[in-house]
Amino acid sequence: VNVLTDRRRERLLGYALIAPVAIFLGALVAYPFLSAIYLSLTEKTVGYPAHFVGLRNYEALLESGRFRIVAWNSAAFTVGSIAVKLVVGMAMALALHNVVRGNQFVRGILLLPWVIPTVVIALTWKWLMDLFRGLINVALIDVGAVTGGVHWLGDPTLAMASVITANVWRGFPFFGVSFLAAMQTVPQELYDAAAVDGAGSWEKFWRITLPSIKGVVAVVTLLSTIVTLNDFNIVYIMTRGGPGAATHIFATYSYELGIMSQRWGLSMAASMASLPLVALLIVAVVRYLHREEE
Amino acid sequence: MRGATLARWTVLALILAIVFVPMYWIVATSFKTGRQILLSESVYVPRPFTIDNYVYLFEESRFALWIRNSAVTASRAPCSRSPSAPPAPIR
Repeated sequence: VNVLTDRRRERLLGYALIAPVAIFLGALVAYPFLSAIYLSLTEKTVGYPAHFVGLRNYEALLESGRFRIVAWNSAAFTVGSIAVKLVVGMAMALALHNVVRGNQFVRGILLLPWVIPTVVIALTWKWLMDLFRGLINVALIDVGAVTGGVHWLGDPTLAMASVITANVWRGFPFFGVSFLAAMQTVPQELYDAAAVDGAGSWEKFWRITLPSIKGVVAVVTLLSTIVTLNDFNIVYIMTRGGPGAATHIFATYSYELGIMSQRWGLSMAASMASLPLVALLIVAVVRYLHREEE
Repeated sequence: MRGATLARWTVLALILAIVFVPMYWIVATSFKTGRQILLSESVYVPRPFTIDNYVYLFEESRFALWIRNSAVTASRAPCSRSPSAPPAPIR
């Protein structure tokens, strides 16, 4: 038997084996992605053929004040959500760390927001924050903290804080459970040695716990940033991007342009806006995970 | 050490409360009538409470079909996700 033909056959077999995956990815990932890039360079309205306009959609977006608000909102929504999730998640992990009794039970309950469908969470928070009938306003009025209802979703500044609240509620358990799992791998000897040297809880946290779990913190933060930047459900259900454009983020704005106004070219350009950042974040995650493996 | 334990349980109680209130609201609302919900009667505890919503769900809506659809979608989902997409549970 010839060695060369053997090798060739093996190589052919290799290609044959990856062909299904390659075709699958090409049809389901690459094609829609490339066609979105192409559409963003055209003027396309539903029912009419697309015609190429170069970068004019991007120019139009950069010049529009509304898009600048959307970009700013996306940044505020993402940074705000992630920051609070980090703090609350860390508090949850620290509070549960080394608790022997009831640990499983509490952890189970704290994970519930994470398994409820996002749509249900968004509707629940919308309802909780309802001006007249929401639990929050009814309770605040009953306690006497406010006289009229607070416009949680109607006031431009509060609305952003409100959608961030719902996003944090959904997302912090994952942060907490991941941090907790990482904390449990930190050897107890380190803490004992630090205690001998006279370190307090605060120093133990900053000098031992945080440096030991920073890999997990980085990966969780990066992944959550990607998903939060692309979030749609919570904002769209709770405020539809309103009041005005006060809570519009990239995804809801693309939807408004593409589905409501039927301006596909412009909509695709808007959805491409976060792409460079998301791509960078994905590269960062993949490289980080690779380094961890080695 | 006493202070640390107290702080720990305060944080836990606070987080549990934050998680619990919306969950309770979901469950409590499911036992209210449309009138109770819309006129914000018996906001905290559904009184009188009704199981009509559940009766409707199981006897009149197509709940079985929805469950089946969810099961079908969930069982097919893994192969329709691209490998570059973040894993599903992280939100």
